[in-house]
Amino acid sequence: MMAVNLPAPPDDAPARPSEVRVLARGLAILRAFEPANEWRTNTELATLAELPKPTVSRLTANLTESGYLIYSAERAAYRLSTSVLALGFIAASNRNLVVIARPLMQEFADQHNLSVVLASPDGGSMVCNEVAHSRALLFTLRVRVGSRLRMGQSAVGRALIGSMGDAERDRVLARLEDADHETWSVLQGQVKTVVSQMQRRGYVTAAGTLERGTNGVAVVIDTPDGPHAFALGCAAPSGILSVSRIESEVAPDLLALKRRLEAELSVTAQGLDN
Amino acid sequence: MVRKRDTQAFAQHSDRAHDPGAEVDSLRRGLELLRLFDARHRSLHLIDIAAKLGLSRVTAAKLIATLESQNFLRPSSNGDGGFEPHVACLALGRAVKRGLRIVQVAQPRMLALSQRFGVHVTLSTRDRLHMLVVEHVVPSGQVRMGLDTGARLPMVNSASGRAYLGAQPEPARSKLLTLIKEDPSQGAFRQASVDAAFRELEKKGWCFLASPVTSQTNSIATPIRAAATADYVLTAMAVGPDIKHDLREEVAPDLLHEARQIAFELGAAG
Repeated sequence: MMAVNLPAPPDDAPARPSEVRVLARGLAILRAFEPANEWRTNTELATLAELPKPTVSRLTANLTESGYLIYSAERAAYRLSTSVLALGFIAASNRNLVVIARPLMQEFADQHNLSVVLASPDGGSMVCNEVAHSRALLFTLRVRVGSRLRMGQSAVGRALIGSMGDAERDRVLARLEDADHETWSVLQGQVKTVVSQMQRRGYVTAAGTLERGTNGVAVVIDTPDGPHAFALGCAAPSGILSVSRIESEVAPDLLALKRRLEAELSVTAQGLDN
Repeated sequence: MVRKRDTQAFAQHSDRAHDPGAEVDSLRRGLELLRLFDARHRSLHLIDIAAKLGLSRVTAAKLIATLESQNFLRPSSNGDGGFEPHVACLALGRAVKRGLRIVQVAQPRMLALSQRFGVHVTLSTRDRLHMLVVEHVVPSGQVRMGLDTGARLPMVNSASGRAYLGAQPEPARSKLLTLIKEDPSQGAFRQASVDAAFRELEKKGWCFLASPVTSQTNSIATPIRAAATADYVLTAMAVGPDIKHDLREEVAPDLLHEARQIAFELGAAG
């Protein structure tokens, strides 16, 4: 059994009894290098972390010895080393949209008895980043992670086109005209409807366009990296998913899921600039 | 110089009750705790954390509480009672990347290389006895394969690690190799294969490795020699059965060129 090295709390920094003071102070030193990892002297760090300078000197020496800080004798200053990237960074950054969305998509698919797709644009098509099929569906859409859906025939592609500004949409359509003329000509006649659907209701529906006898509905997801970076859609055979069921049940819940995902993402992003 | 201790040596050290440095050990333990999380271990329970660090549950719980109050950890989002790294880990890592000029210099070149050949491109450096991914570029339409900033690769069993080791001057290289042979987490060490890799690096400027992890994944790596050091490695990885470009024949010349250009730009501006 190991001794707990809890030093007596000093007058200058009352710590909660459940906290380890030295660790808390060491973390404060590391965070004093945010946001751009400039060289910092012990004196600067003492000011930034609001700690006595002798304490800071001990901590920076310790952090340098364990490889998390680099010391420059020339500057008499420290900065973070690349080893800091081993401190949970990958596990935290993998909490991206796909990871957050996965369990919620499955829940949604089971609850509404349909397939849910999270897709992002890649060239002239939509690539499926994540797919969840209802466990109660016997026959599911032939869509898997990595599948490509046509921009104009899928609800996810239409939702994206419907949310774009005019200039961006014109560019995308011009590219599509060269790359996939058939899709372009179908879409051309429907752009107005798609745009007005998105503006009025925040979602688009697609009846029988992806596969014959299939209905779909989609919304876009705005991420901290940019607006409509992803589209979230669901689809099922029209016998199960009628347009009226889409409008009364599925679309309101899909919009709620969109808001929940965007809120989760913005919490993660705000932490970056603290 | 090798002065970073591995977890076991560290745990033994911190067990000494009257060590004058005992006070700062909670800092090292807290950081060791954060190191337990990676792409495969996004969430860990108190009991696993205590076991892996050789700490009592009470001690581990106190470290976790501190890390949680400082936003380095939070309860797992999947609600299983475990803990996962939180926004402070992201903020610190972002600061490191923002402050690294080599990332800014290498990024556009990595992107171009990735698009030209449809390969993954990785910039990595050593962290203790592993190669730590600093930047990773995925070709359009391919999945990340768990590789991203902060991922750690084995040293002798990755093209990146071999290129790094081969570029280190003696006695640093021998010291590292000794530590790697003693480290049980490194996997098989085949001297002949490592020696052949070093000869290949000397002769051709790169190390090639058909992945021992997954079939159909081949990597080729070259050290970035800036000033008198070779701290970073540039690696191209081809994934899948329909590899369009041969790494050794087609990609290697461009890989070496980009590595030289990165070193040149770093030197020119520094």
